Amino acid sequence: MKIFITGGCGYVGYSLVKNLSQCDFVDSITIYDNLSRPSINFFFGQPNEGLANIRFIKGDLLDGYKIGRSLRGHDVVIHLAAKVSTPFSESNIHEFDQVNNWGTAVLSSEVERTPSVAHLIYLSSVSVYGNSNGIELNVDSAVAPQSAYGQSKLKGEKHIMRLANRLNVSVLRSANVFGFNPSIRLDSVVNRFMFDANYLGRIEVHGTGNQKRAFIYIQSLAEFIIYEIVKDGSGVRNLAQFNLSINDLVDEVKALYPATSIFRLDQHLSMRSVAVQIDKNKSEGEEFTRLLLSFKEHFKYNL
Amino acid sequence: MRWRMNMSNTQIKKEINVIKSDLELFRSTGKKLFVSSSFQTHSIPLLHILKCIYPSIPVYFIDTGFHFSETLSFRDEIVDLFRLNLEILTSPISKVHQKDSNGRFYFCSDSEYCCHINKILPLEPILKEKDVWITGVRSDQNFNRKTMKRIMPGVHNTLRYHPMLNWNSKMIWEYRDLYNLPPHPLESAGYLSVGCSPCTMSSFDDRSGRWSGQNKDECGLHVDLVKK
Repeated sequence: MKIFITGGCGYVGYSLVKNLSQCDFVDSITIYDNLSRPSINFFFGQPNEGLANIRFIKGDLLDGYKIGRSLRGHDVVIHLAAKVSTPFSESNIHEFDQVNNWGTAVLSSEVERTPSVAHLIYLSSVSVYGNSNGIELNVDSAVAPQSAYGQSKLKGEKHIMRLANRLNVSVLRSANVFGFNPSIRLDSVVNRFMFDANYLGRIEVHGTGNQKRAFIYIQSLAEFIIYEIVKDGSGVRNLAQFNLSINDLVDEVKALYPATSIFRLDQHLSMRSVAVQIDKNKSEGEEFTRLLLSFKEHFKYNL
Repeated sequence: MRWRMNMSNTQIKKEINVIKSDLELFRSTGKKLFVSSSFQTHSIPLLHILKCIYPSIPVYFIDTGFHFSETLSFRDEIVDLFRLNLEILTSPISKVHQKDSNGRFYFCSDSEYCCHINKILPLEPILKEKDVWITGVRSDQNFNRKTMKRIMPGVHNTLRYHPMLNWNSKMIWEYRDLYNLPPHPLESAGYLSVGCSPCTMSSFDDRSGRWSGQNKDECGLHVDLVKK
């Protein structure tokens, strides 16, 4: 099987490629990325032990010409490339639209013109639901994104779903991703709290802290995506393992770093919540604590 | 039925017969014909008429890359329903090279240029190959179209043929009703005229939702590609 991954050098791409390259059904992986993020840790480390051939193409999601030529002969396309959400900032709304909406439109059109592609997988976000208003959402819940990021991801979903009568399409709505890998993002709240607690001795909480978030561990997300390839399915799925309020998260981090100071900013603000129905068999209460402990072991220094 | 009070079967047949004899005349003289369509609700009667008269006529859709996904799905639905001979045109300029000096797409700052590179550039090579370009413009749509003729010269030695020029929105509605033709999926949300998503607003007032607020009511296909 020949797999094409957009945005494959990013945080999710790092774990996905590492896992995929060790799957015996994968012949080759083409990573298409414009290297817009400053981190290039994807390219360094121990030599890859996987069997699959890895190829890298530096290219932009908006470059339909280049994507079209690069896509030829691939069986599966995994679309990870995105302008990701930046908490408390909507400063460049057009960029979300440009990349997540129109970039996905470009990719969809090129996939449509590439007969070898049998399965298109899109990593969307639970942010398309907007506010869960105290309930746990499922894939049948109404979508009402509250942010420019969420709106752009929902528009991206429409471009992908348009192809559903031609090939298998999977829309995977991911929760907030956390956990260590060398391409880690620190704008994810769990990662930020852990980094700040370990190195700065303080974390910042915006709003009341009662807002809930759904979370998924980076390694689990990579495995879910691979499972989607293996079962060759179609449809919309939520990928989430844990629901925690920000205050719950503070308690978890405090348990690991008891001396951490908590700075509460804009406490008058009630922030929106996104909680998602979770298969309880797949996530246990202690599991989240165990994953944070494992995360902590990756810090080179404990200051 | 209500349409019978306004537009009889005879009237429709008469309109279709005129189009049929025009097409036969073009074809008898060896002219190469094509139709372009934006696959809006009001585009569908012309496509329906053409598929009855000349089923294999090439139907060109200019995929600007900025269409609503609903438009692309509707296009595919109509192509399947009418068994159209669809050809899709795209800009020779990738979207990554369609940004202004601030890094934004041109529809944010220069919609004329955006239309030029996404609509006119893709169509021009076709005009150089073909002889007669059929479009569904109507004189009741705006001032520019009011000045058009049923047959008039286009650029690159083409003829522009406007068979729907004297139809109005009511006739379009009645024809759709008569043949039970499906509406564009966004029509019920107020998108009576649907172009590219960034430059189209919901408006129940025909074309006023296009480039709303700008001094612009044409994309250029029916201005720049008319022989002056």
